[in-house]
Amino acid sequence: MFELPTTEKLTDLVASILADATFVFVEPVQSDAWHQSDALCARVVFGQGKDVELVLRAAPALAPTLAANLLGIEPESDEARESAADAVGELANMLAGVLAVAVFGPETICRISIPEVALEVGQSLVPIPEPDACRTVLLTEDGHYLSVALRIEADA
Amino acid sequence: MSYRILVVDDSPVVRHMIRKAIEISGLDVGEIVEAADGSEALSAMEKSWIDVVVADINMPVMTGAEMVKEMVAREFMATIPVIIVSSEKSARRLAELKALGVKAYLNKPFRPEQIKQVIGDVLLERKEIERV
Repeated sequence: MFELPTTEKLTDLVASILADATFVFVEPVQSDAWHQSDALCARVVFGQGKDVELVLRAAPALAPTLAANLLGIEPESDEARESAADAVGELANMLAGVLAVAVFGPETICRISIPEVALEVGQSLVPIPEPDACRTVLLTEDGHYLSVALRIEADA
Repeated sequence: MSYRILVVDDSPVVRHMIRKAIEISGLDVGEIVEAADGSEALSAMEKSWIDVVVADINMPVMTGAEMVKEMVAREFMATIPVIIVSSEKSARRLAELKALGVKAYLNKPFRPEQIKQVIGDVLLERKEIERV
């Protein structure tokens, strides 16, 4: 048996990883406040037996900054733009590592999938339909949105 | 003596981060070789001398854990120290890898000074073993 973390716990974990890895500082906001339609979206599945899906959505304008801060380069550089998708995927990977312990405990060896990253065009942030899910929506100091959602996957 | 370090991760961003941390560390590094998965890494180890392997766990084709097991089978672990850099934080996974002979384990996200410290310690240990 396992449980997803509370929204507050998820928010704290995401904010901590963002600060440590990318020096991006965020505050939680109301989830219906994000009306931006495009997002760079990274999906990772982790678990042992029953799996948890993690979806990280970052505003496209934020992603080069994440890459630049990971790499120690200028966010306006070509390298930052070219590395943006990989950076969002790697951030999702780091979050999965932390959340795997939060959900399944430190003694469980979880599978963590390779992140799949795609640009979602025209998708708006929808309310969470299922009870077995949680999400946090965060706003950076520069006014960019980022969200992390967790959902327990249905049995195959 | 300049060391050859093999960096193994499917993420180009992470390989770049580790490469950069090594380059600014002041360690005596002659060459940094890169591989995107465990299978590429084993090919690199077979082609030329490698002093230290810095590897992720979760990779396509061949994971870091599978790579370490294959290194044990080919007796590479006797001569090539392995440092794991991973987002996985399971204490059981760490114990499993250490039992296989992995020298050190760093969690992601890491700081450049942590990479420097861990690689430096492993290279120093290797130097002392060679002296004996």
